[in-house]
Amino acid sequence: MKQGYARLILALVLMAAVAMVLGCGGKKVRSLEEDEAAMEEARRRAAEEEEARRAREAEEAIKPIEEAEEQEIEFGKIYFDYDKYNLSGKSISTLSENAELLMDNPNMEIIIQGHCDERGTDEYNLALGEKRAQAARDFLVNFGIAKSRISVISYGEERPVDPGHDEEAWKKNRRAEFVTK
Amino acid sequence: MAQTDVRLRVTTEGRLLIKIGFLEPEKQPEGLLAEYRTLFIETLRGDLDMSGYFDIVEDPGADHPHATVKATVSAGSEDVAFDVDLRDRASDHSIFRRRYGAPAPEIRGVAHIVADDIVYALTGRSGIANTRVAFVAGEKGGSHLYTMHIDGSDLERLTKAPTIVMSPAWSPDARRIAYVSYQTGSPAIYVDDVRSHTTTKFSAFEGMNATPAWSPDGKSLALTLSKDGNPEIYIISLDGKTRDRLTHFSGIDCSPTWAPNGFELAFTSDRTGSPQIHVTDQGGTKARRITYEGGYNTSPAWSPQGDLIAFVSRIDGRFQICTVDPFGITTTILTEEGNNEHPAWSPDGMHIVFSSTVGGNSGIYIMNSDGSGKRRIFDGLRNARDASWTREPRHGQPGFDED
Repeated sequence: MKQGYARLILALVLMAAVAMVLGCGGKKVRSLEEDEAAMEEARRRAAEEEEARRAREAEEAIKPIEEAEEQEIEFGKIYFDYDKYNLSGKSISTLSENAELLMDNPNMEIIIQGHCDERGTDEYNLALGEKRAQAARDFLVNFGIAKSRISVISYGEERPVDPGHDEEAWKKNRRAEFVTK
Repeated sequence: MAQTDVRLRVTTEGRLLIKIGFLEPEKQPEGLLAEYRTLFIETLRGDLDMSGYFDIVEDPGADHPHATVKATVSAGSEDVAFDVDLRDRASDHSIFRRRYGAPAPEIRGVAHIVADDIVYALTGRSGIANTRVAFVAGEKGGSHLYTMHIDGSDLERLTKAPTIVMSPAWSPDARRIAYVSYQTGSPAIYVDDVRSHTTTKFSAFEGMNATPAWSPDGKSLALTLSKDGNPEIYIISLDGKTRDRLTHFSGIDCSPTWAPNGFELAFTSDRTGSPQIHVTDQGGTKARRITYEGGYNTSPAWSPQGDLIAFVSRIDGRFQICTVDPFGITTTILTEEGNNEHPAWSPDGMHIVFSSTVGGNSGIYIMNSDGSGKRRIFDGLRNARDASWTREPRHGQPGFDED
Protein backbone atom coordinates (compact mmCIF):
# COMPACT_ATOMS: atom_id res chain seq x y z
CA MET A 1 0.00 0.00 0.00
CA LYS A 2 2.71 2.48 1.02
CA GLN A 3 4.67 1.92 -2.06
CA GLY A 4 1.69 2.79 -4.14
CA TYR A 5 1.21 6.10 -2.35
CA ALA A 6 4.88 7.03 -2.60
CA ARG A 7 4.77 6.55 -6.38
CA LEU A 8 1.62 8.69 -6.54
CA ILE A 9 3.22 11.52 -4.60
CA LEU A 10 6.37 11.42 -6.69
CA ALA A 11 4.28 11.62 -9.83
CA LEU A 12 2.40 14.64 -8.44
CA VAL A 13 5.61 16.41 -7.47
CA LEU A 14 7.07 15.81 -10.91
CA MET A 15 3.92 17.14 -12.50
CA ALA A 16 4.05 20.24 -10.29
CA ALA A 17 7.71 20.83 -11.17
CA VAL A 18 6.99 20.55 -14.87
CA ALA A 19 4.09 22.95 -14.45
CA MET A 20 6.34 25.48 -12.70
CA VAL A 21 9.00 25.27 -15.38
CA LEU A 22 6.39 25.66 -18.05
CA GLY A 23 4.91 28.61 -16.17
CA CYS A 24 8.31 30.38 -15.89
CA GLY A 25 8.86 29.60 -19.43
CA GLY A 26 5.93 31.88 -20.11
CA LYS A 27 8.26 34.90 -19.73
CA LYS A 28 9.65 36.70 -22.70
CA VAL A 29 13.18 35.74 -23.43
CA ARG A 30 15.53 38.79 -23.25
CA SER A 31 18.64 39.59 -25.14
CA LEU A 32 22.04 39.57 -23.45
CA GLU A 33 22.40 43.40 -23.77
CA GLU A 34 19.09 43.97 -22.17
CA ASP A 35 20.13 41.69 -19.37
CA GLU A 36 23.38 43.61 -18.82
CA ALA A 37 21.59 46.94 -18.91
CA ALA A 38 19.08 45.67 -16.44
CA MET A 39 21.84 44.46 -14.18
CA GLU A 40 23.65 47.79 -14.51
CA GLU A 41 20.44 49.58 -13.65
CA ALA A 42 19.91 47.33 -10.69
CA ARG A 43 23.47 47.88 -9.51
CA ARG A 44 23.07 51.65 -9.83
CA ARG A 45 19.85 51.64 -8.01
CA ALA A 46 21.31 49.49 -5.30
CA ALA A 47 24.24 51.84 -4.91
CA GLU A 48 21.88 54.83 -4.64
CA GLU A 49 19.81 53.08 -2.08
CA GLU A 50 22.91 52.14 -0.17
CA GLU A 51 24.08 55.75 -0.15
CA ALA A 52 20.70 57.02 0.96
CA ARG A 53 20.58 54.42 3.69
CA ARG A 54 24.03 55.36 4.88
CA ALA A 55 23.13 59.08 4.91
CA ARG A 56 19.94 58.41 6.85
CA GLU A 57 21.75 56.35 9.39
CA ALA A 58 24.40 58.97 9.76
CA GLU A 59 21.74 61.61 10.40
CA GLU A 60 19.95 59.47 12.84
CA ALA A 61 23.22 58.78 14.52
CA ILE A 62 23.80 62.49 14.97
CA LYS A 63 20.32 63.28 16.28
CA PRO A 64 20.51 61.15 19.38
CA ILE A 65 23.94 62.54 20.10
CA GLU A 66 22.61 66.08 19.86
CA GLU A 67 19.61 65.28 21.98
CA ALA A 68 21.81 63.52 24.43
CA GLU A 69 24.02 66.58 24.59
CA GLU A 70 21.04 68.84 25.26
CA GLN A 71 19.77 66.55 27.95
CA GLU A 72 23.23 66.42 29.35
CA ILE A 73 23.42 70.19 29.68
CA GLU A 74 23.19 70.34 33.37
CA PHE A 75 24.13 73.59 34.90
CA GLY A 76 25.92 73.33 38.19
CA LYS A 77 24.19 74.70 41.29
CA ILE A 78 25.98 77.14 43.53
CA TYR A 79 25.71 77.39 47.30
CA PHE A 80 25.94 80.17 49.84
CA ASP A 81 26.86 80.78 53.44
CA TYR A 82 24.13 81.57 55.97
CA ASP A 83 22.64 85.03 55.37
CA LYS A 84 25.15 85.74 52.60
CA TYR A 85 24.91 86.31 48.88
CA ASN A 86 28.57 86.66 47.97
CA LEU A 87 30.11 84.10 45.63
CA SER A 88 32.60 81.60 46.99
CA GLY A 89 35.59 80.38 44.99
CA LYS A 90 33.75 77.14 44.29
CA SER A 91 30.71 79.09 43.09
CA ILE A 92 32.86 81.12 40.76
CA SER A 93 34.33 78.03 39.13
CA THR A 94 30.88 76.47 38.77
CA LEU A 95 29.59 79.69 37.27
CA SER A 96 32.49 79.78 34.85
CA GLU A 97 31.56 76.31 33.65
CA ASN A 98 27.93 77.37 33.31
CA ALA A 99 29.06 80.39 31.33
CA GLU A 100 31.02 78.14 28.95
CA LEU A 101 27.91 76.06 28.39
CA LEU A 102 26.00 79.20 27.55
CA MET A 103 28.73 80.31 25.15
CA ASP A 104 28.52 76.93 23.39
CA ASN A 105 24.75 77.22 23.08
CA PRO A 106 24.17 80.79 22.01
CA ASN A 107 20.42 80.40 21.59
CA MET A 108 19.86 79.09 25.06
CA GLU A 109 18.08 81.25 27.62
CA ILE A 110 18.07 80.50 31.31
CA ILE A 111 16.27 81.32 34.53
CA ILE A 112 18.34 81.61 37.69
CA GLN A 113 16.35 80.65 40.81
CA GLY A 114 17.51 81.94 44.19
CA HIS A 115 16.68 80.10 47.43
CA CYS A 116 17.26 80.31 51.19
CA ASP A 117 17.11 77.93 54.10
CA GLU A 118 14.06 78.03 56.37
CA ARG A 119 15.60 80.19 59.04
CA GLY A 120 15.12 83.90 58.81
CA THR A 121 12.00 85.93 58.20
CA ASP A 122 10.24 85.18 54.96
CA GLU A 123 10.15 88.67 53.43
CA TYR A 124 13.87 89.14 54.01
CA ASN A 125 14.48 85.66 52.61
CA LEU A 126 12.69 86.64 49.42
CA ALA A 127 15.17 89.50 49.03
CA LEU A 128 18.12 87.29 50.01
CA GLY A 129 17.17 84.67 47.40
CA GLU A 130 16.89 87.45 44.85
CA LYS A 131 20.37 88.76 45.69
CA ARG A 132 21.80 85.25 45.36
CA ALA A 133 20.27 84.79 41.91
CA GLN A 134 21.39 88.28 40.93
CA ALA A 135 24.95 87.60 42.06
CA ALA A 136 25.04 84.62 39.71
CA ARG A 137 23.51 86.65 36.90
CA ASP A 138 25.94 89.53 37.34
CA PHE A 139 28.86 87.11 37.15
CA LEU A 140 27.57 85.60 33.89
CA VAL A 141 26.97 89.03 32.40
CA ASN A 142 30.50 90.11 33.30
CA PHE A 143 31.71 86.92 31.69
CA GLY A 144 30.09 88.06 28.45
CA ILE A 145 26.66 86.44 28.40
CA ALA A 146 23.98 88.81 27.16
CA LYS A 147 21.77 90.03 29.99
CA SER A 148 18.68 89.42 27.86
CA ARG A 149 19.34 85.67 27.99
CA ILE A 150 19.00 85.55 31.76
CA SER A 151 15.93 85.93 34.00
CA VAL A 152 16.06 85.86 37.75
CA ILE A 153 13.47 84.68 40.29
CA SER A 154 13.57 84.27 44.06
CA TYR A 155 11.58 81.66 45.95
CA GLY A 156 12.89 82.73 49.33
CA GLU A 157 12.47 79.83 51.75
CA GLU A 158 9.39 78.50 49.94
CA ARG A 159 10.99 75.71 47.86
CA PRO A 160 13.59 73.80 49.84
CA VAL A 161 15.19 70.71 48.27
CA ASP A 162 15.62 69.22 51.71
CA PRO A 163 12.83 69.63 54.25
CA GLY A 164 15.11 68.79 57.17
CA HIS A 165 15.75 71.07 60.12
CA ASP A 166 19.50 70.84 60.51
CA GLU A 167 22.58 72.27 58.87
CA GLU A 168 22.84 69.25 56.54
CA ALA A 169 19.50 70.25 55.04
CA TRP A 170 19.95 73.99 55.34
CA LYS A 171 23.18 74.14 53.41
CA LYS A 172 21.57 72.30 50.49
CA ASN A 173 18.76 74.83 50.44
CA ARG A 174 20.94 77.96 50.36
CA ARG A 175 21.45 77.82 46.63
CA ALA A 176 20.97 79.22 43.16
CA GLU A 177 19.79 76.88 40.42
CA PHE A 178 19.82 77.28 36.65
CA VAL A 179 17.02 76.08 34.41
CA THR A 180 16.63 76.49 30.67
CA LYS A 181 13.65 78.51 29.57
CA MET B 1 23.51 108.02 65.73
CA ALA B 2 21.50 106.77 68.65
CA GLN B 3 22.75 103.73 70.50
CA THR B 4 20.35 101.41 72.27
CA ASP B 5 20.76 102.28 75.92
CA VAL B 6 18.19 100.11 77.52
CA ARG B 7 16.75 96.76 76.57
CA LEU B 8 13.86 95.60 78.70
CA ARG B 9 12.52 92.10 78.93
CA VAL B 10 8.88 91.92 79.93
CA THR B 11 8.54 89.33 82.66
CA THR B 12 5.53 90.46 84.62
CA GLU B 13 2.06 91.54 83.68
CA GLY B 14 1.73 94.46 86.03
CA ARG B 15 -0.73 96.97 84.60
CA LEU B 16 -3.32 99.21 86.12
CA LEU B 17 -6.61 97.55 85.16
CA ILE B 18 -10.08 99.01 85.20
CA LYS B 19 -12.34 96.98 87.49
CA ILE B 20 -15.62 96.29 85.81
CA GLY B 21 -18.65 94.30 86.99
CA PHE B 22 -21.73 92.90 85.32
CA LEU B 23 -25.10 93.70 86.91
CA GLU B 24 -28.07 91.41 86.67
CA PRO B 25 -31.19 92.82 84.99
CA GLU B 26 -34.19 93.66 87.17
CA LYS B 27 -36.21 90.95 85.53
CA GLN B 28 -34.57 87.69 84.47
CA PRO B 29 -35.54 86.68 80.91
CA GLU B 30 -36.86 83.25 80.15
CA GLY B 31 -36.63 80.70 77.38
CA LEU B 32 -35.04 81.80 74.15
CA LEU B 33 -34.42 85.35 75.36
CA ALA B 34 -32.50 83.96 78.31
CA GLU B 35 -30.30 82.00 75.92
CA TYR B 36 -29.73 85.06 73.79
CA ARG B 37 -28.74 87.09 76.82
CA THR B 38 -26.36 84.39 78.04
CA LEU B 39 -24.64 84.26 74.65
CA PHE B 40 -24.40 88.05 74.59
CA ILE B 41 -22.97 88.35 78.10
CA GLU B 42 -20.48 85.50 77.62
CA THR B 43 -19.18 87.01 74.39
CA LEU B 44 -18.99 90.46 75.97
CA ARG B 45 -17.09 89.16 79.00
CA GLY B 46 -14.62 87.30 76.78
CA ASP B 47 -14.02 90.42 74.69
CA LEU B 48 -13.50 92.69 77.69
CA ASP B 49 -11.07 90.14 79.09
CA MET B 50 -9.19 89.92 75.78
CA SER B 51 -8.90 93.70 75.52
CA GLY B 52 -6.33 93.70 78.29
CA TYR B 53 -7.79 96.76 80.06
CA PHE B 54 -10.13 95.14 82.58
CA ASP B 55 -10.26 93.15 85.75
CA ILE B 56 -13.74 91.64 85.66
CA VAL B 57 -14.99 91.41 89.22
CA GLU B 58 -17.23 88.58 90.28
CA ASP B 59 -19.37 90.41 92.79
CA PRO B 60 -20.09 94.01 91.77
CA GLY B 61 -21.70 94.59 95.14
CA ALA B 62 -18.65 93.71 97.18
CA ASP B 63 -15.67 94.19 94.86
CA HIS B 64 -15.96 97.94 94.20
CA PRO B 65 -15.70 98.04 90.43
CA HIS B 66 -14.89 101.34 88.69
CA ALA B 67 -17.65 100.71 86.18
CA THR B 68 -20.64 98.43 85.76
CA VAL B 69 -22.40 97.02 82.72
CA LYS B 70 -26.04 96.06 82.67
CA ALA B 71 -27.55 94.44 79.58
CA THR B 72 -31.28 93.80 79.27
CA VAL B 73 -32.62 91.70 76.42
CA SER B 74 -35.97 92.05 74.72
CA ALA B 75 -37.55 90.87 71.52
CA GLY B 76 -37.83 93.44 68.77
CA SER B 77 -40.16 93.11 65.81
CA GLU B 78 -37.53 91.52 63.59
CA ASP B 79 -34.57 91.04 65.85
CA VAL B 80 -33.24 90.80 69.37
CA ALA B 81 -32.67 94.08 71.23
CA PHE B 82 -30.04 94.65 73.92
CA ASP B 83 -30.28 97.70 76.13
CA VAL B 84 -26.80 98.33 77.45
CA ASP B 85 -26.15 100.68 80.35
CA LEU B 86 -22.50 101.46 81.16
CA ARG B 87 -22.24 103.32 84.44
CA ASP B 88 -19.45 104.98 86.35
CA ARG B 89 -19.67 103.54 89.83
CA ALA B 90 -18.31 106.44 91.84
CA SER B 91 -20.68 109.06 90.45
CA ASP B 92 -23.45 106.62 89.59
CA HIS B 93 -23.77 108.41 86.26
CA SER B 94 -24.48 106.56 83.05
CA ILE B 95 -21.53 106.81 80.68
CA PHE B 96 -23.75 105.61 77.85
CA ARG B 97 -27.08 103.90 77.48
CA ARG B 98 -27.91 102.46 74.08
CA ARG B 99 -30.09 99.97 72.36
CA TYR B 100 -28.34 97.57 69.98
CA GLY B 101 -30.35 95.24 67.77
CA ALA B 102 -29.52 92.26 65.60
CA PRO B 103 -31.07 89.09 64.25
CA ALA B 104 -30.39 86.13 66.50
CA PRO B 105 -27.55 84.68 64.37
CA GLU B 106 -25.64 87.96 64.75
CA ILE B 107 -25.74 88.29 68.51
CA ARG B 108 -22.03 87.53 68.87
CA GLY B 109 -21.23 90.29 66.38
CA VAL B 110 -23.34 92.78 68.33
CA ALA B 111 -21.58 91.82 71.56
CA HIS B 112 -18.23 92.52 69.87
CA ILE B 113 -19.41 96.00 68.88
CA VAL B 114 -20.66 96.68 72.40
CA ALA B 115 -17.35 95.52 73.85
CA ASP B 116 -15.45 97.97 71.66
CA ASP B 117 -17.89 100.75 72.59
CA ILE B 118 -17.21 100.07 76.27
CA VAL B 119 -13.47 100.07 75.62
CA TYR B 120 -13.76 103.35 73.76
CA ALA B 121 -15.88 104.97 76.43
CA LEU B 122 -13.45 104.01 79.22
CA THR B 123 -10.04 104.24 77.48
CA GLY B 124 -10.44 106.30 74.35
CA ARG B 125 -9.09 103.41 72.23
CA SER B 126 -11.16 101.80 69.50
CA GLY B 127 -10.64 98.23 70.78
CA ILE B 128 -10.07 94.88 69.06
CA ALA B 129 -13.29 92.95 69.63
CA ASN B 130 -14.86 93.98 66.31
CA THR B 131 -11.84 93.49 64.08
CA ARG B 132 -10.80 91.23 61.25
CA VAL B 133 -7.50 89.65 60.18
CA ALA B 134 -6.17 88.58 56.81
CA PHE B 135 -3.55 85.82 56.92
CA VAL B 136 -1.82 83.01 55.03
CA ALA B 137 -2.13 79.31 55.80
CA GLY B 138 -0.99 76.06 54.23
CA GLU B 139 2.21 74.33 53.25
CA LYS B 140 5.22 76.14 51.87
CA GLY B 141 4.88 76.64 48.15
CA GLY B 142 1.15 75.89 48.20
CA SER B 143 -0.74 78.19 50.54
CA HIS B 144 -3.90 80.25 50.53
CA LEU B 145 -4.92 83.72 51.65
CA TYR B 146 -7.77 83.95 54.16
CA THR B 147 -9.68 86.51 56.17
CA MET B 148 -11.62 85.90 59.36
CA HIS B 149 -13.12 87.76 62.30
CA ILE B 150 -10.72 88.07 65.21
CA ASP B 151 -12.89 85.57 67.12
CA GLY B 152 -12.13 82.91 64.51
CA SER B 153 -15.57 83.00 62.88
CA ASP B 154 -16.52 83.92 59.33
CA LEU B 155 -13.47 82.33 57.70
CA GLU B 156 -13.23 83.20 54.03
CA ARG B 157 -10.66 81.97 51.48
CA LEU B 158 -9.60 84.59 48.93
CA THR B 159 -7.29 82.64 46.63
CA LYS B 160 -8.44 80.03 44.13
CA ALA B 161 -5.49 77.72 43.64
CA PRO B 162 -2.76 77.07 46.22
CA THR B 163 0.47 78.90 45.41
CA ILE B 164 3.21 80.91 47.05
CA VAL B 165 1.32 83.80 48.65
CA MET B 166 2.67 86.28 51.20
CA SER B 167 2.41 89.62 52.95
CA PRO B 168 -1.33 90.45 53.00
CA ALA B 169 -1.93 94.11 53.90
CA TRP B 170 -5.34 95.71 54.58
CA SER B 171 -5.90 99.18 53.15
CA PRO B 172 -6.63 101.86 55.79
CA ASP B 173 -10.33 101.89 54.79
CA ALA B 174 -10.51 98.09 55.20
CA ARG B 175 -11.91 97.68 51.71
CA ARG B 176 -8.92 96.21 49.96
CA ILE B 177 -6.08 93.77 50.61
CA ALA B 178 -2.73 93.98 48.85
CA TYR B 179 -0.63 90.78 48.74
CA VAL B 180 2.10 88.92 46.86
CA SER B 181 1.24 85.89 44.76
CA TYR B 182 3.20 83.59 42.45
CA GLN B 183 0.02 82.37 40.75
CA THR B 184 1.36 83.19 37.28
CA GLY B 185 4.73 81.61 38.04
CA SER B 186 6.53 84.78 39.08
CA PRO B 187 5.85 87.14 41.97
CA ALA B 188 3.39 89.99 41.48
CA ILE B 189 1.43 92.24 43.83
CA TYR B 190 -2.35 92.02 43.61
CA VAL B 191 -5.04 94.16 45.23
CA ASP B 192 -8.35 92.48 46.09
CA ASP B 193 -11.48 94.50 46.71
CA VAL B 194 -13.15 92.44 49.42
CA ARG B 195 -16.62 93.82 48.84
CA SER B 196 -16.81 93.48 45.08
CA HIS B 197 -14.55 90.38 45.06
CA THR B 198 -12.48 91.78 42.24
CA THR B 199 -8.73 91.40 41.87
CA THR B 200 -6.37 93.85 40.20
CA LYS B 201 -2.78 93.10 39.34
CA PHE B 202 -0.99 96.10 40.76
CA SER B 203 2.70 95.49 40.23
CA ALA B 204 4.32 92.91 37.97
CA PHE B 205 7.73 94.31 37.13
CA GLU B 206 10.53 92.01 36.18
CA GLY B 207 11.99 90.36 39.25
CA MET B 208 10.74 90.89 42.77
CA ASN B 209 7.39 92.50 43.52
CA ALA B 210 6.98 92.15 47.27
CA THR B 211 6.21 93.54 50.74
CA PRO B 212 3.29 95.92 49.94
CA ALA B 213 2.54 98.59 52.59
CA TRP B 214 -0.33 101.10 52.36
CA SER B 215 0.32 104.78 53.00
CA PRO B 216 -1.87 106.12 55.84
CA ASP B 217 -3.98 108.07 53.34
CA GLY B 218 -4.60 104.90 51.36
CA LYS B 219 -3.42 106.48 48.12
CA SER B 220 -0.07 104.73 47.65
CA LEU B 221 1.70 101.45 48.23
CA ALA B 222 5.31 101.25 49.28
CA LEU B 223 6.85 98.02 48.00
CA THR B 224 10.06 96.20 47.15
CA LEU B 225 11.09 95.82 43.50
CA SER B 226 14.32 94.42 42.09
CA LYS B 227 13.82 95.66 38.52
CA ASP B 228 16.72 98.12 38.72
CA GLY B 229 19.29 95.50 39.65
CA ASN B 230 18.72 94.67 43.32
CA PRO B 231 15.90 94.85 45.92
CA GLU B 232 14.96 98.51 46.50
CA ILE B 233 11.95 100.30 47.95
CA TYR B 234 9.56 102.27 45.77
CA ILE B 235 6.32 104.17 46.40
CA ILE B 236 3.69 103.81 43.69
CA SER B 237 0.34 105.58 43.72
CA LEU B 238 -2.77 103.41 43.43
CA ASP B 239 -3.70 105.13 40.18
CA GLY B 240 -0.26 104.25 38.87
CA LYS B 241 0.55 107.85 38.02
CA THR B 242 3.46 108.43 40.34
CA ARG B 243 6.37 106.21 41.13
CA ASP B 244 9.17 107.26 43.46
CA ARG B 245 12.27 105.36 44.42
CA LEU B 246 13.09 105.55 48.12
CA THR B 247 16.40 103.64 48.43
CA HIS B 248 19.57 103.54 46.38
CA PHE B 249 21.77 100.97 48.05
CA SER B 250 23.15 98.02 46.10
CA GLY B 251 22.43 95.45 48.80
CA ILE B 252 19.04 94.55 50.23
CA ASP B 253 16.38 97.17 51.02
CA CYS B 254 12.92 95.76 51.68
CA SER B 255 9.86 95.56 53.96
CA PRO B 256 8.79 99.23 54.19
CA THR B 257 6.28 100.36 56.84
CA TRP B 258 4.76 103.85 57.13
CA ALA B 259 4.69 106.14 60.13
CA PRO B 260 1.07 107.24 60.78
CA ASN B 261 1.99 110.81 59.84
CA GLY B 262 2.72 109.55 56.33
CA PHE B 263 6.05 111.28 56.35
CA GLU B 264 8.58 108.66 57.44
CA LEU B 265 9.05 104.99 56.65
CA ALA B 266 10.96 102.27 58.46
CA PHE B 267 12.46 99.42 56.46
CA THR B 268 14.98 96.58 56.53
CA SER B 269 18.41 97.09 54.97
CA ASP B 270 21.72 95.29 55.09
CA ARG B 271 23.64 98.44 54.15
CA THR B 272 25.62 98.29 57.41
CA GLY B 273 26.65 94.66 56.83
CA SER B 274 23.73 92.83 58.42
CA PRO B 275 19.93 93.19 58.25
CA GLN B 276 18.86 96.08 60.49
CA ILE B 277 15.92 98.49 60.74
CA HIS B 278 16.37 101.98 59.33
CA VAL B 279 14.08 105.01 59.13
CA THR B 280 13.95 107.47 56.26
CA ASP B 281 11.61 110.19 55.08
CA GLN B 282 9.59 110.08 51.88
CA GLY B 283 12.25 112.05 50.10
CA GLY B 284 14.59 109.12 50.70
CA THR B 285 17.25 111.27 52.28
CA LYS B 286 19.38 110.49 55.30
CA ALA B 287 18.22 107.14 56.60
CA ARG B 288 18.98 106.55 60.29
CA ARG B 289 19.62 103.13 61.76
CA ILE B 290 17.44 102.27 64.78
CA THR B 291 18.40 98.70 65.76
CA TYR B 292 21.80 97.99 67.27
CA GLU B 293 21.44 94.81 69.25
CA GLY B 294 22.14 91.56 67.46
CA GLY B 295 22.99 90.73 63.88
CA TYR B 296 19.51 90.19 62.44
CA ASN B 297 16.61 92.64 62.79
CA THR B 298 13.89 92.63 60.13
CA SER B 299 10.13 92.93 59.46
CA PRO B 300 9.38 96.38 60.91
CA ALA B 301 5.78 97.41 61.59
CA TRP B 302 5.08 101.00 62.67
CA SER B 303 2.30 101.35 65.25
CA PRO B 304 -0.74 103.45 64.25
CA GLN B 305 -0.02 105.40 67.45
CA GLY B 306 3.34 106.39 66.00
CA ASP B 307 5.34 105.78 69.16
CA LEU B 308 6.66 102.26 68.54
CA ILE B 309 8.00 100.10 65.75
CA ALA B 310 7.56 96.35 66.19
CA PHE B 311 10.09 94.09 64.49
CA VAL B 312 11.63 90.61 64.53
CA SER B 313 15.02 90.06 66.13
CA ARG B 314 17.13 86.92 66.09
CA ILE B 315 18.17 86.23 69.68
CA ASP B 316 20.15 83.10 70.56
CA GLY B 317 19.25 81.56 67.23
CA ARG B 318 15.49 82.03 67.57
CA PHE B 319 13.21 84.85 66.45
CA GLN B 320 11.44 87.17 68.87
CA ILE B 321 9.09 90.12 68.50
CA CYS B 322 10.49 93.37 69.86
CA THR B 323 9.46 97.00 69.87
CA VAL B 324 11.68 100.06 69.57
CA ASP B 325 10.94 103.78 69.58
CA PRO B 326 11.49 105.58 66.26
CA PHE B 327 14.89 106.86 67.39
CA GLY B 328 16.30 103.53 68.49
CA ILE B 329 16.77 104.51 72.12
CA THR B 330 14.81 101.85 73.97
CA THR B 331 14.16 98.30 72.76
CA THR B 332 11.74 95.93 74.50
CA ILE B 333 11.67 92.17 73.89
CA LEU B 334 8.06 90.95 73.92
CA THR B 335 8.31 87.19 73.27
CA GLU B 336 10.51 84.46 74.64
CA GLU B 337 9.44 81.01 73.52
CA GLY B 338 9.44 79.37 70.12
CA ASN B 339 9.97 81.30 66.88
CA ASN B 340 7.91 84.42 66.40
CA GLU B 341 7.42 86.41 63.20
CA HIS B 342 5.16 88.76 61.24
CA PRO B 343 4.26 91.39 63.84
CA ALA B 344 1.35 93.63 62.82
CA TRP B 345 -0.61 96.19 64.86
CA SER B 346 -4.27 96.38 65.80
CA PRO B 347 -6.01 99.42 64.26
CA ASP B 348 -5.78 101.30 67.58
CA GLY B 349 -2.11 100.42 68.08
CA MET B 350 -2.68 98.78 71.47
CA HIS B 351 -2.19 95.14 70.43
CA ILE B 352 0.11 93.13 68.19
CA VAL B 353 -0.86 90.08 66.12
CA PHE B 354 2.00 87.71 65.31
CA SER B 355 2.84 84.16 64.20
CA SER B 356 4.39 81.79 66.68
CA THR B 357 5.60 78.23 66.68
CA VAL B 358 5.43 78.11 70.47
CA GLY B 359 2.57 75.61 70.17
CA GLY B 360 4.42 73.47 67.58
CA ASN B 361 2.65 74.27 64.32
CA SER B 362 2.74 77.96 63.38
CA GLY B 363 -0.37 79.71 64.71
CA ILE B 364 -1.74 83.24 65.02
CA TYR B 365 -1.46 84.95 68.38
CA ILE B 366 -2.19 88.35 69.81
CA MET B 367 -0.69 90.22 72.75
CA ASN B 368 -0.89 93.65 74.32
CA SER B 369 1.67 96.11 73.02
CA ASP B 370 3.81 95.57 76.12
CA GLY B 371 3.95 91.81 75.55
CA SER B 372 1.42 90.84 78.23
CA GLY B 373 -1.79 88.93 77.60
CA LYS B 374 -0.56 86.55 74.90
CA ARG B 375 -3.26 84.28 73.54
CA ARG B 376 -3.72 82.10 70.49
CA ILE B 377 -6.63 83.25 68.37
CA PHE B 378 -6.64 80.65 65.63
CA ASP B 379 -5.57 77.04 65.22
CA GLY B 380 -8.02 75.84 62.58
CA LEU B 381 -5.56 75.66 59.68
CA ARG B 382 -2.05 74.37 59.28
CA ASN B 383 0.82 76.83 59.38
CA ALA B 384 -1.28 79.96 59.91
CA ARG B 385 0.94 83.04 59.64
CA ASP B 386 1.56 86.49 58.22
CA ALA B 387 -1.52 88.33 59.56
CA SER B 388 -2.76 91.87 58.88
CA TRP B 389 -5.36 93.54 61.13
CA THR B 390 -8.26 95.89 60.39
CA ARG B 391 -11.65 97.03 61.71
CA GLU B 392 -14.92 95.27 60.90
CA PRO B 393 -17.81 97.49 59.82
CA ARG B 394 -20.43 98.29 62.46
CA HIS B 395 -23.34 97.17 60.33
CA GLY B 396 -25.45 100.14 61.28
CA GLN B 397 -25.21 99.74 65.04
CA PRO B 398 -25.40 102.97 67.06
CA GLY B 399 -22.09 104.18 68.36
CA PHE B 400 -19.32 106.70 68.49
CA ASP B 401 -17.84 106.42 65.01
CA GLU B 402 -20.20 105.40 62.29
CA ASP B 403 -18.48 103.77 59.32
